[in-house]
Amino acid sequence: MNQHLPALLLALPIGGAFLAPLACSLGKKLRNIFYLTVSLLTLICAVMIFLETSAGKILVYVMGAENFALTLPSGMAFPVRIILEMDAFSGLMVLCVAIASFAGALFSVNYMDKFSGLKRFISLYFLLVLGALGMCATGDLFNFFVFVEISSIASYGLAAFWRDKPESIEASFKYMMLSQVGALLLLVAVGTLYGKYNAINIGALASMLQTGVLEKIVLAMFIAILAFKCGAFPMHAWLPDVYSEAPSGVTCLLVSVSQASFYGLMRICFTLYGTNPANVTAAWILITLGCASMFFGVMMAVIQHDVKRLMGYHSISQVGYMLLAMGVGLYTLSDAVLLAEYGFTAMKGGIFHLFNYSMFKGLLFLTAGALYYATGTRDLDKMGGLARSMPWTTVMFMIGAAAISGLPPFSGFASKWLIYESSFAIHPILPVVALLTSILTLASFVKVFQTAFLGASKISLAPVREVPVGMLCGMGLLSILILFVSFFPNIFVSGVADPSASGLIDQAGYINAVLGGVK
Amino acid sequence: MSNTIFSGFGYWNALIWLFFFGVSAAFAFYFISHGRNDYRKGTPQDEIYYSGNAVPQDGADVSVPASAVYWGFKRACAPLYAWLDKLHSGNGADYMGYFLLTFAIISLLMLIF
Repeated sequence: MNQHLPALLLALPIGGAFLAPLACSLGKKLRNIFYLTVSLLTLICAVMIFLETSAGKILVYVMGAENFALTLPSGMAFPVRIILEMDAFSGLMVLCVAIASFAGALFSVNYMDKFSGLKRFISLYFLLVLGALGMCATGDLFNFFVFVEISSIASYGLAAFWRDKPESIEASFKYMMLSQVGALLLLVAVGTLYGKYNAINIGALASMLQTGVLEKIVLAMFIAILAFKCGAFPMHAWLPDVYSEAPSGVTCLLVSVSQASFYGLMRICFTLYGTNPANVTAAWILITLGCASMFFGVMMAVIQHDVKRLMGYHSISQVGYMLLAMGVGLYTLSDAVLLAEYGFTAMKGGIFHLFNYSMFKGLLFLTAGALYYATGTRDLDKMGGLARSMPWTTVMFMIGAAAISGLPPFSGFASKWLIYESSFAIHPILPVVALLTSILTLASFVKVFQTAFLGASKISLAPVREVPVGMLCGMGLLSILILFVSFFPNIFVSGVADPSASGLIDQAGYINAVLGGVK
Repeated sequence: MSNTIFSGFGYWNALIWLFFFGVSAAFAFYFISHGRNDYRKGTPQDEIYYSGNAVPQDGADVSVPASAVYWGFKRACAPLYAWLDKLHSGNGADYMGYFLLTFAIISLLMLIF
C-alpha cells in the first residue's frame, strides 16, 4: 500500500475534483462531508509520504509501467514514462500543501456556505490542490509544466469566483495574461532541454547537463518564470490582486501553491544544475531578487489599509527571505567548506521559513477572511474594537502576526534568525535588509492589530459576532502547528529541515533513484 | 531532549527564553505591586480625558484610521512611494513589461558572468 502513496496522493484530489458536482447534488451536508473527507484523506496520505521521505527514503513511482518501480525499461538509456520522485524536500512540500488545503477546506465550509456555485468551487479547489501536489511530486519537467498549468487554470477560476465583482475578474485576467506568457516560456525551456538532451526526466537531465549558452538561457527562463510564480519583485504585481480577491480559504491554499513554484525553482537550481558554474550567477540573482522582494514588498504593505492586500504584499516580502536563504545556500554549493560553515544553515533556515510561511501566512489570510465574514469589509479604516466581539479570531491573529514579524519565541523568529546569521557571512548588508524588513513587518501588523481589534467599539460594528466553529477550526489547526513549531523548533530543524536540505544538495542520490546508479 | 537549535554562530532555545521572560515578568509585577495603590475602579479616575470635551459615543469618532497611521513615515519616504505607485499602475501591459524586462536582465547576467 505504502508503495502506491505517490499515485494515491494525486488520485485523491483528482477524484475529488471530478466527483464534486455529484456530491454537491446530494445536499449540503453530504457536500460538506465529501469536501472535508477528501481533504483529510489527502492530508493523511501526505503525512505518510512525509514520514517516509523524512527518514531519508526517495519514493519513486512509474505511471503506466508493468512494474511501478521500473524506471528504466530494458533497452532504454533514459526513463520514458511519467515518473513521480519524492525526496525529503518534496515530502515537506506536499505536507505544507495538504495542511493548507485541509485548513482552507475547514474554513470554507462555513465561509462559502451562503454562496451558490459551490460544485464549481470545490472542483476547482481540488484541481488547485492537485496542481500544487503534482508540482512537488513529479520527477520530470514536462509534467511539472502540466501541473503548473493545472494549478494556474484552477487559480484563474477561483480568483474570479465572485464574478459579479469587477475587481475579481480584473485580478484573474491579469494573472491569466501574465501566467500564460510565463507558461509559454516554461514550455520553451523544457522543450529546449528535450531538444538537446532527448530527455525530460530531471534526474536523467541532471546526469548529462553541460555548461553552455543554451543551458544558461534555459536557467534564466526557469528563474524568471518560477520567481514570477512565487511573487518575487518586480514580477509580483499580480499577487496582491489575486490574493485579495480570491475567497480566503483559497488564498490560504494559494500561499502553498506559490511555494510549489518556489520548490520547482529550488529543484531546478540544486538538483538539475547542481554544481554547474552557471549556478554562481543564479545564486546572486536569487539573493538580489530576495532582498528586493523583502524590502519593496514590506514597504508597500506598510501603507495598505485593505487587510488582504496588506497581507498579499507581505507574502512578497516573506518569499524574499526564502530566496535570500536559498540563494546563499546555492552560492556555497560548489564549496564544501563554505557549505558546511554557513550555506547549509542558510538552506535549513530557508526551508524552515518556507514551512513557517505556509502556516502563518495561511492563518493570517484566514483571519482576514474572518474579519471580512464578520464585518462585510476589508477596509481597516472601517474596523475597530473587534477584540471584544471576536476574541478567538483576535488571539489567532496575534499568533500569526507575532510569528510573521519574527517576535521571539514564535516560529518566525527561529527561521529568520538562521537566515540572518548565515547570510551575514556573505555580506553584512543582507541581514540588515532582512532585519529592516522584519521591523517594518512588525510595524505593519501592529497597525492592523491596533486599527481592527483595539480601540473603542464602533456603532456600525455592534452586531458583529465571532465567526462559526468551522472557520475557527481552520484557523485553530494552523495556530496549534505554529505554536508547536515555535516551542520545539529543534524537532522541525533536525527532523525536517535538515533532511530536506540534505536531499536538495544530494544530486547524485536523486539521479540514482531513477537511473539506478547509471550516471 | 535538547530543545536548542544552532546556527554555527549562536544558539536559540525557546523554552530558555520563556523561562527568562517569566523571571523578568515576575520582577516587573513585583515592582508594580510596590507602586501607588490609590486607583479605585468605578470612580471618576476611570473616565476618559478628551481635552476637556465630551467623549463621543461612537468609536469611529475617536479612532485613528489605518490610512492615517504612519503618516510621518509615508511623508518621509514620499519619493520612494511615488516611484512604487508608478510601478503599480494596474496596467497589465506594464506588468508584462516588467516580467519580460526581468527575464531579459537575468538572461544577460547569465550570459555575461
